[in-house]
Amino acid sequence: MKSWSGRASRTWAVATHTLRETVRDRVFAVSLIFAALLLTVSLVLGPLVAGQQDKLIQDFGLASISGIGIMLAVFVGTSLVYREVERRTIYTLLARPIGRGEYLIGKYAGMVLTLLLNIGLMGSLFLLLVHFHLGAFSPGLLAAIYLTAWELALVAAFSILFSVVSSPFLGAFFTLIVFVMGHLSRDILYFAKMLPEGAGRTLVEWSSYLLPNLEYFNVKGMAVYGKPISSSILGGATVYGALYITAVISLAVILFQRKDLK
Amino acid sequence: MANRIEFKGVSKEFRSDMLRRRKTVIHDLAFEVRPGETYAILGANGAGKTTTLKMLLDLISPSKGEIRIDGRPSNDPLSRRILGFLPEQPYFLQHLTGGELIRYYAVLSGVDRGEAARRSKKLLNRLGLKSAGDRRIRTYSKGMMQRLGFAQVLVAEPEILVLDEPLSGLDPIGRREIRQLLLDQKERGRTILLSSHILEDVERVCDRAGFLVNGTIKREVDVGAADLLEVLAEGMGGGDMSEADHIADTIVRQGELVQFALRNEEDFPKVQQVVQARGGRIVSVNRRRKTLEDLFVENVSAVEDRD
Repeated sequence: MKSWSGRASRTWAVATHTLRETVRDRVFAVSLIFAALLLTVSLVLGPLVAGQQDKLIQDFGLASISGIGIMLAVFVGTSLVYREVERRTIYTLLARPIGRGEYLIGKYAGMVLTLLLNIGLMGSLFLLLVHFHLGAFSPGLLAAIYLTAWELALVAAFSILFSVVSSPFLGAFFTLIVFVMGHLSRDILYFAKMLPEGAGRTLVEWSSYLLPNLEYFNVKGMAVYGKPISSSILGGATVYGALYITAVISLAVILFQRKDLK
Repeated sequence: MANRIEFKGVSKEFRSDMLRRRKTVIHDLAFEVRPGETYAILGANGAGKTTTLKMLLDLISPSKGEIRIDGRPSNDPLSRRILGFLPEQPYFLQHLTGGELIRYYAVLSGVDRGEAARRSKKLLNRLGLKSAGDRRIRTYSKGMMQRLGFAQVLVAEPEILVLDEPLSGLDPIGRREIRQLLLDQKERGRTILLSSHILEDVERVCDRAGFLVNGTIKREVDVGAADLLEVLAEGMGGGDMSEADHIADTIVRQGELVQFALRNEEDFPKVQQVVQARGGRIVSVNRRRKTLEDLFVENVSAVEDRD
């Protein structure tokens, strides 16, 4: 029991320090300013689109939250571990009685806290704008923001995985590929079915199964058009996201434990 | 009491290039550090000192062999509960202040937050960083970084200190301060393993030293117990001195004179016999302390010359 509480305490210490690091980093502040600008632009553009003003504001707002979050998850996530190894700050850290798994999970948790803080601030600003403009907002928007948070957490898991095995540049490249393919995984499967039988088709089919289906987390259209978002959609995406994140972070921990920190 | 640190038959290979060719940097390394002892790993640049310390800390896995800290395998994070590590040219998280860093590391070592704050304050005061404790680390000078490095080592009150080149790159005053700090820790009964090539400091601080040459400990010496008896003889004629090879530590010929350096005083009669057998006579006998530098040059450069 004591050892579990010790592990939790060490992991939490790494997570809170990672949050402190990202918040003190200018990237975080810049992303917030940029997000605020985008949300304001949506208000300016709104009147230009006759009859679609409300939808444009909501569409643009949700896309901004997601886009800025993805940039943070990809570019900050891929440099977090790599930077500590490159700058050799990791030596004195791992010379403590902390396992590499605890360290890496702490780093990931810190990244998720950063994304939650970011999405919390951006989401609140967005909902305030919608409320100010329309007089109210639909609960579907909250659901859309909730699932965007899960999507970002999953993308951040990939960025941590790639940061263990490659440079930030390659890590960001691979993570962006996963993000794009993740939104196209249904199309990839459809494309695979049109291919002739053989190794190529099997490979494409398997890659579509292995890649996360990020469309599970995309209910933005439903939210903007006021369609009901059932609890089964929310619950299913939550379980899917949690399982996928567990698998990706477990793989990252295994690879990190085998890595020589020269 | 068991050894604090043990290396048994440890080897390390790295895949060195694009073709993934293997390069062995540590060969069958074996040594131990006893409780309360200060042990130095001495070696030229590239001898494998830092790799050895990184294997001890499980930052690098050995390809072969066994490393134990206080009886526990070194890849068990719990083995590091009693250990503090100072890397060569320490780098720390630049976005933190000195105080935040020390408190963070204390918590990671299992110290509760209240105690971590108390120890951090005390250590920063002791190491002359009181006013810098609230400043970001990125504003620290090199000397301040080294002192902060010692603060993070000591915050968990470790029983074993592992220090990679702790005295390099410091000015004379800084070196003196750190040397004094090491002597304080030694007096408190801490076990210290350090790597260095500043032999003068090692002589002042360490009990034993191992010469690391091409990834293996070539020879171990008790620091301070390396007295030599220098015997100078003449009239022995030419030719080699192979009959005295096993008696003397070194034999140096300078024209008519031959100098025998003996590690054991008991070997003196044997040298006398060799000299008499060759019709020579002993001119002088002097006791000289063999410095670590003598031993370093002898052990390290002899092998490098051969390579």
